[in-house]
Amino acid sequence: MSLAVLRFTGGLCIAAGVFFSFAAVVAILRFPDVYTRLHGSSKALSGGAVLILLGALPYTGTAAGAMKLVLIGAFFLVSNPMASHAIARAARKREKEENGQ
Amino acid sequence: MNVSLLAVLYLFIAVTALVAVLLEDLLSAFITLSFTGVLMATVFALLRAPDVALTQAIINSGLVTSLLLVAYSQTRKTPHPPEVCDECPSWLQVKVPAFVCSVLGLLLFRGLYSLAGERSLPEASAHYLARTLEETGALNVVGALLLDYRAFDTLGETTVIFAAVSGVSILLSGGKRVHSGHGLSYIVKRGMALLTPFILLYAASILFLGHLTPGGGFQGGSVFATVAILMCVVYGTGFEASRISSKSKETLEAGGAILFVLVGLLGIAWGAGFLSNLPAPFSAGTPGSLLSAGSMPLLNIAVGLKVGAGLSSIFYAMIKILELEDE
Repeated sequence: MSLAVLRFTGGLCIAAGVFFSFAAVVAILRFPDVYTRLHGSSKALSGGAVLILLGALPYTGTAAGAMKLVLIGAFFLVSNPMASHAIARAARKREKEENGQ
Repeated sequence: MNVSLLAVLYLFIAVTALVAVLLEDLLSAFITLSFTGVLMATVFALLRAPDVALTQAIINSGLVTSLLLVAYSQTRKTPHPPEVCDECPSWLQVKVPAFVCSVLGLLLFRGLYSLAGERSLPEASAHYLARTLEETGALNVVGALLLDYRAFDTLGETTVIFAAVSGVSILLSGGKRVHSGHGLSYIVKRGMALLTPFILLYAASILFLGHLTPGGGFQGGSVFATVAILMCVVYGTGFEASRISSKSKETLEAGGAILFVLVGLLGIAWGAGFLSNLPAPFSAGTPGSLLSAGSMPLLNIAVGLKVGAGLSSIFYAMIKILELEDE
């Protein structure tokens, strides 16, 4: 019974993750400039992928598999903000250079 | 095997490849191609070929993309060539290549579908699957094929990498390394410092457990090279070069080749033939332990040294030229 509840919650998490990924795609297509697009696209990983990994947890069956998913999620949570930050900084630098010339 | 999932993946592979061809902007085309690589790695993993999937993910999506980006940033943009080509008729320019590509694609897709189904194995494959553990002591059959049954071919492949590294180094030689660039911001540097030990651990596990789990020298060495490239991007070009000089990379690469050949010569010394594994004085060990499968761990280390040092020195040879032009 409890596994069924867990799996239902997992399904909800996956649905939310798919929603975040979809919203990120819409954001990339609709937002006006680099920074807002970056703001939208970083949700695809931080929100979307991590929620999908969480949702997949009840389906793994083994503790080792669940641990792997948690580690992958932690890796995303560390690396994605870092990459977004680096891209935003590079964009800002380029903007400054173009304005300066 | 989930055939509908495979079909969706195949569709996306075709779409991303087509988009990469049609895109005007080269930079976007490279990024689209790396997506194609990731999708192909997923397909390989689904088709139960994790060794190939690892190679595909690391080489195609990581290393090749970064090398293409370096090459892109040092080439000049030329104006688009005129649409009309006088020498060949226009129908030949688009339609014939498109036709050939679609026929090839259809044939390959059909092959991929038959791969997903159940097949009877050819005689040689059945032999390898049944007797690898007994004949080599390795749990990873692909690894055993590469480093035991067909070790001589692997030696040839590593020689190809050596030739590529030599070619790139000779073509791009000349000029001193200019220490420039402070790398990315403090946040990225600290984040990279947090992640590097784990990436290195992953690389080492692929390399040293190559005879037990999917992976091996080639994949592990490529992850090591990726760490070097990441270091170069994040900390600036002088950082990694000041710690591991290009001389020591050359030494590592040559050391890998020498180790490989020495292991092979031991086989001759024991009268069992070049690169033979268990007939030579290597013990099979307990199946599944770290020191098992005879000479395979040694050969994995040799290939890893060669590939890791070789690929990172290709990257550094290219980035060196880039810096000279930035000056």
